[in-house]
Amino acid sequence: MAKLRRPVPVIFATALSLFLALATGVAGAHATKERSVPEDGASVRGSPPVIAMMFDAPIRITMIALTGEGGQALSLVRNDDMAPVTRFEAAPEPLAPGRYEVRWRGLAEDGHAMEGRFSFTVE
Amino acid sequence: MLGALAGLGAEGWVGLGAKAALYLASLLAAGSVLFLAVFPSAGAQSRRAARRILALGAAAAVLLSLARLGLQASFLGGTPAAAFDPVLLRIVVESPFGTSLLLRVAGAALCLAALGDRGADRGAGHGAGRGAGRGAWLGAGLFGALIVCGSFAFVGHTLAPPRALAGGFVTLHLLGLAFWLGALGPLVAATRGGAAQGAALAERFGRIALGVVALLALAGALLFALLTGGRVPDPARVYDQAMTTKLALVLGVLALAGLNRMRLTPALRAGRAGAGAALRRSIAAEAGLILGVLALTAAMTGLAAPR
Repeated sequence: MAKLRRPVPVIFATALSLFLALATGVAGAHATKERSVPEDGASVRGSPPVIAMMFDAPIRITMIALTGEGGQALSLVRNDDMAPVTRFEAAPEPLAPGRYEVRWRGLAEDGHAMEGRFSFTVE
Repeated sequence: MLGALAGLGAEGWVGLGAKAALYLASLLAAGSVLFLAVFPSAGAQSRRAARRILALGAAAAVLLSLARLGLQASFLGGTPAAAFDPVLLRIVVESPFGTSLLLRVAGAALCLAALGDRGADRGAGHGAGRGAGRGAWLGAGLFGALIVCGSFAFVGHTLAPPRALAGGFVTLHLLGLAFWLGALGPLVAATRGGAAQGAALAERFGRIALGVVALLALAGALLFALLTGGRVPDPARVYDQAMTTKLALVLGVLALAGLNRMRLTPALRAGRAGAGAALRRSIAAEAGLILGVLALTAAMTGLAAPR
């Protein structure tokens, strides 16, 4: 049997092929926020029963914070358990008239950490 | 690009710094293994330098990878304390980001196996069993280098189809860059070891680097075309601005490499006074430009999208 004269390059090339074959099995996608309820910059009549964000691909929302005009934090109730969702919902406490800001952070399926913010006014 | 960077807070800068430092440490570890494999007959000083850089780079890559897991959890939770939140840490570890970093930790640790390859330095009298021993230690180290470079393909935009192709281009691009970066320290050490030794290694590196640059550039160009979907470059896009700046820095590296090959290495070979110092300065400038490329890549992959 012929001796392998250059075993290291051959092993390296084989390992590269196997490694790339493994890489094909990984799933994932970037997520982009498409819209929110209330919409960014919108004015709504009365306290919204729910604050929602819609994404084009699943994302885990890991942090969401609602603040009022003075910067005071307001409570939000969520039931998603940080599972990947394309529609995220959280119920705010009753909101008095004023301007509010929502800040969020999350992890897309491809491993990208994302963040964003939007604001709305309650009349 | 500058606008996007100006919007970064302290948290963003720490994350960016850790990411760029991890790029550097990972590529130095992988590149040092490639150096030991490609230049088995390099002088003892060069190989010692490669081993030292390998040990430091691999240790830093492991520590920085673990730190980035915590930093990611901290970012996701919105507070520094979230870095230790078990729920967030589990989410991070189970995500492609975690897979990529844990693969890098394993790859960097495996790179250290190449430190066991002492065969090439022992001389003719200690050659018994050298081939098999060298193959095993170096093979393990090379597999580690491959895992380190390939780990970058397990996160982010390269996961979009066609994944195997994008992953392959990323891996080849990084193997080429690692080879280049990993050779710089040993080259400097070789010029300190004597003019003849320095010139011999620089000449050999220059010849191989031609092919490596072609591979690196081709893989990079194909990857850019894949990630951008073949769209026309747009100067208004942050991603394209960063890519243009990166190309300018790469051209600077190539210009310095050309200068080294055409002028400084022949001067060193001819034993001209100050030639060694001039080559070391040029290599240091090359390293500085590559650091710029890594920092820019860390910024553009975090702040901008290719499409």
